[in-house]
This record gives sequence, C-alpha cells and structure tokens, in this order.
Amino acid sequence: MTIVQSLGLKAARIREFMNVPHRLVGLALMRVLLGAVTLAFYAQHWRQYPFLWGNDGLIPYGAYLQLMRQRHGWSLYMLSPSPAFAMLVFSLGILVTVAFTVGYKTRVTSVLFYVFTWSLYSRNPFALDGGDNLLFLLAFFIMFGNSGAYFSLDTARENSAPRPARPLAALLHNYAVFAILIQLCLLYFTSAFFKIQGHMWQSGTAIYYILRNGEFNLSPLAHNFYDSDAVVTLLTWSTMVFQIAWPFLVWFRPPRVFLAIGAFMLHTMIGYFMGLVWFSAVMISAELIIFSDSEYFAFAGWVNRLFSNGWAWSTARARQFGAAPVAQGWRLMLFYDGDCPLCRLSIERLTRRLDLFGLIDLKSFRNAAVALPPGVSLADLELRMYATTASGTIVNGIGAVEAVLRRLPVLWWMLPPVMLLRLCGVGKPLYDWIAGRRYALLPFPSCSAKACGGELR
Amino acid sequence: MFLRWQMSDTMQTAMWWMSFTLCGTILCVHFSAIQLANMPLSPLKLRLANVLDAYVNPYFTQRWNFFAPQPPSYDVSLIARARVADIGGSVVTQWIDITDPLIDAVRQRRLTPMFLVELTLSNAVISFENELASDPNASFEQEGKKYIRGQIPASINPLEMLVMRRVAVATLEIVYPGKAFDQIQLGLMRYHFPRFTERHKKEGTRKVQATLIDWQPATWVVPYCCVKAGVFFPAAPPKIAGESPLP
Repeated sequence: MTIVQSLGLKAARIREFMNVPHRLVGLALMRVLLGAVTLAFYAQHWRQYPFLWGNDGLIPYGAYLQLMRQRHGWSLYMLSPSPAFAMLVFSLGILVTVAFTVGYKTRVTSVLFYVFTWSLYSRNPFALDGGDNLLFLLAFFIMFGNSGAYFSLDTARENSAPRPARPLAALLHNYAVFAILIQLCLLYFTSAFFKIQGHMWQSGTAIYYILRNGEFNLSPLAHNFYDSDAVVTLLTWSTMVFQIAWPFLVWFRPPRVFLAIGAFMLHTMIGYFMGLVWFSAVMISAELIIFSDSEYFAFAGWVNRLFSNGWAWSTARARQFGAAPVAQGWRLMLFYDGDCPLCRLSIERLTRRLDLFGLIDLKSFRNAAVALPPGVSLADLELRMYATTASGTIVNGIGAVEAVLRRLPVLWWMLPPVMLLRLCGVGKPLYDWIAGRRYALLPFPSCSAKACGGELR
Repeated sequence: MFLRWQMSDTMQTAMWWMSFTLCGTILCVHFSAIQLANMPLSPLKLRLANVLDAYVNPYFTQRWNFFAPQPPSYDVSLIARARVADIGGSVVTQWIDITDPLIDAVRQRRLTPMFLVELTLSNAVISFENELASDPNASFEQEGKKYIRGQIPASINPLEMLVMRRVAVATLEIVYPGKAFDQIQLGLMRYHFPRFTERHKKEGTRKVQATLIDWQPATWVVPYCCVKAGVFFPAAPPKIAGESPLP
C-alpha cells in the first residue's frame, strides 16, 4: 500500500468516525442534570430575587450597566431598567430551563438556556462559584451538540430512536463533545498544576486549612477528619493525584469507571463537608460525558438483567410465602365486572401484576359458571364490586378496594387516602359515582354498555 | 446528470474537510487562549495580555485554582455600624457581625435561600482582600514586608466595596427596622486559625487583625428575605493595633 493510499484510508476512517454522533447518552444526561441543577438554583433563590438580581438590590442597574460595559459583555438584563422587565427575564429563564431539562425543542432551548443562564449569572457575578462557572461554559458547548437525542420530549414525540444525523451536524456535535472533554481536562489540569506548587498541598495539610475555614466548615464531623494526621495527609494527596491523573486517564476506556467513582466520592464529600452542593452537582453531572454510548447501553443492559432477575426471584419467594398455610387467612375472592374495560384495566392487569403473594382470586360475575357470594345478587354486583375474605366476611365498594390494597404491598402508599375517604364518608359515594360510569370513563371499542355491559354472558 | 452528481459529491467532501479543519482550528486556538489565560504569569502571557483579556472575558472567564496554591489560613468577617439621623443629631449603632450569622444560616440549612447572600458577600470580601496588597492607599511596604493599613479609604475597589456596603446596609435594615441610615462604616476582621501542628489548641488563642474602612454614604437597599433580626449579634469593637502585616 502506497503512502497516498494509506493516508486516504486514514482520512476515510476519520470521516466515517466523525459522521456518526458520539456520546449522545452522556450529553443528554448532562443536559437533564444541568437543567435540574439550574432549576433547583432558581427554586432555592427565587424569594431572594429582588436582593440578589433586582435593580434596587446588590448591584443597582446603573452600576451593572457600567460593569458590563467595562467587561464588554452583553446580557438580557441590560435591555431595560424596568423592574418588571427584569422580572420577566427571570421568569422566562425558569420556563426556558424547564423546557431545556425535559428536552422540548432542544436545539432551540439549548441556545435560549445559555442566553438566559449567562444573563442571570452576569447580573450578579459575585453570586457564582466554580460550579456555576463550569455550568455556563458547558452550556455554551451544549448549544452545538445534539443533547436531545435521549431522555427528551423531542424523542418521545417522534416515538423512535434518534434519527441519523447529517454529516455536518454530526461533525459539530462531535466537536462540541470533544470541547467539553477538553474543558474538563483543563479544569483538572489547572487545578492540579496550581496545587503542586503550594507548600500546604505538598506537605499534605491543605485539607486541614480548607476545613478550618468558617465558610467551608459546615459539618459537625469535619473535626474527625482534620484531627487525624493520616486522614488529612491522605485526603490532601489523593485529591492532588486524582486531579493530576484525570486529564490523562479519561481517554482510555478501562480507568473511566474508577475516575467516575473517584469524582463522585470527591464531589459528594465537597458537597457535604464544605456545603458546595450545587458545585458538586455540576461537577458530577459533567462526569457523565466521559462514557461512550456503548458503555451506557452495556450498563443499562446489566441493570435491566439485575432488576429482572431480582424481580423474578422476589416474585417466586413471595408466591411461595403466599401459598404457605400462614398466609391462607389473607386470601381474598374478588367479584368484579369482567366486561367493563376500566375494571379489566384496573383489576385484572394491575392486580395480576402486583399481587406478588398470589392472595387475590379474581372472579368475573359476568361468567355464568362463577358462584356468587352468599346473600349477594347480580343486581348488587352490577352496582359495585364485592370481596369475600377467608373468614367469610363480605365487603363491597370502597371497602373492597381497601381489602385489595391491603394485599398489595406495592400499593400500600394508597391505603391512607383510601381509608380517609371511607372514614369521612366520601369514599362510598365517590366509588359509586365511578362505578356507575365505568363504561363511559374508559370506552372500549368492542364492548359498550349497550352491547354487553347490561347482559349476562 | 452523472457528472453533476460527481461534482456535488466532491464538493460535499471538500466542504466536509474544510469544516473539519475549521472546527479543529477554532478549538485549538480557543483552548490555547483559555489555557494561557489560566496559567501563571509568563512572558508570553504578558505579551498577549490584552488579546487574551479581550477574548476570554467575560464569556469564557474561568478560574480553577480551587484553594491553590495555598488555601486561606484565616477567616475574614465583615462587620458594620451605621449613623442614624436622630432628633438630637446622629446616633451610631453597635458594630454588627454580618458574615458569621450568614454562614450559620447555611450551616443550619444547606439549601437555605441565604446561600447566595453568603456566597456573594464571601466572594466580594475575598476579592476585596486580594486587591488590597496592590493598592497603595490600602497597603505599604516596610523593610521588604507588606502591611495593610489599619484604616483605609472607602474609595478603593469600588465594585467590591459596593457589594459589601449594600449587604451590610441590608443587614442593618433587618437589625434596626424603620431606621434611615446616613452613613455606614465597614470593618474587616481576620481570625487566623492555628497552624496544623497547633490545631488542638483552644479557639481563644486565635490571632485577630482588624482593618477599618472610612465612613461612607449609605443608600437604601431592598432587604434580603428569610432571616430574622435575632440571628445577628453585636460584634466586639475592633481594636486597631497599628498596621497589620499582610496575611
């Protein structure tokens, strides 16, 4: 093979690689988490808006305008001195963040998210920490990537897997992902570069000084850490080693999972001990880009297998227990309308899926072979469902619903409101109202009240 | 038709490679500029300072030192008092500690709306402190050692001063509701915490340094929410014992 042929082959490989968008899952997860962090930031501080970002607050409009002109910056909050306009921008920022987080028109909302978030951050530059700094840098690169390929309303509406990207769009996306990775590498590299020059970091005591600082000494457990020579030295040096290693190891597949675990541990500790909750959340969100799509799919498959195996195992054990003599007293026979779509949906499907112990025996009273409970007529069963317990007690309507819920541990959370409704007398009329309209509430094409609801089979 | 298709394909390939090269070049230039701006001062950085500043600030501003090269070895608290217009002239309020109650609020409830008030004040105070050493009105050099003056004018670091003053005014409005303040005086208290080897010593042994800022006009600020006046407590009047060595 000549050199020209070899170069041609390499060029074709590069083009082939860059024409497929990479790390779509990681970017989508990052979008969701960064959006959630920004929403939490808005929610935490919306009552503080007039002081932190308002025109009569910390930085009056005139001073803000002067600051932005000095910095040659631009922001939506510069457009008008009107407090109503500033409030409108703040409120629109929340709406845009919601749309960005849920992935609605992601291409557009990712641009709007950057504009609104940057505008808010620039309105009071003193209210930012390293996490906010990273967030607006990442938001800039996210604008160029396809962050709505997964976990988004855009994909849900299309009801399909992401469409194949056009070559230029894929190229831009891949560069955006690459830029995010480089940005993270620079972050860790710079931090490590400055740390290795500091004598407190070299001597292994820096963590002590950080934790002694009033602003970052937020946990009552902090002294347990800085009292110990070994712990302080280990934490100081391991932080440095982690930050030095990250930019070099992230490009290789095997150590990535250890980097992610290390980053999660480091930033969780920073969040807990130093109170930098949102900084830690942004740093952890940023780590999600380090894994490729195939790694995410492999992980999802593993989790899926784990859950299905676990579910199958738990169901088998629960069935065993349900069949044991001790559980026989809990058995229930439920008489319901097998022709009504709503009843079939709520009782047959739900109960069969959630009746882990196999305690509920379902009987459709439309089936002529089914023996009715003693003292209960077909006319009674038309009005409401009935249940008979192992001891022979007969309950109906809302009481039967309650008896069913008691036997379904997954739905125990519904018991208190149902009991409350029954006790305060609302449960019975409410149940009867729904039962009376059971054919109208969920129409079923092959079976209407006229066709089969009123007749016995 | 076939010829046109071939041309179009070639054009597409050329366009793709041009885009590939352009994006790659932009990325290289961008991150080179960013990293040069992030690194310590060097002859190259000095030479390109204006270009770097124009490119990096404000949209790509970043600072990743994270307590490096040295974490702080002391706490700084902002204290403040105000002159209130009264019938018989003016009355001066007590010194009020502004910083510590805000930190306590965050310590008690991590997700408190006070979080950003505390962060804003802390960032302003740290930025103000960092600039003092390079301001001849605030510091001086003697026998090769830098000192911060015990009392400094209110005109230095106007932006940080504005933020510190407005947080202080808002706090004093909470502590003294209904009072109109004519002037405000700020003070910075530095509490050095023990060296690592002396960390088991009692808190009372901490070295304290104070810097007072001249009186300055106080204008009304919309107050911050979610805090009661009772959480703020009077601070001990600062003692200015000569000049403070630069920490």
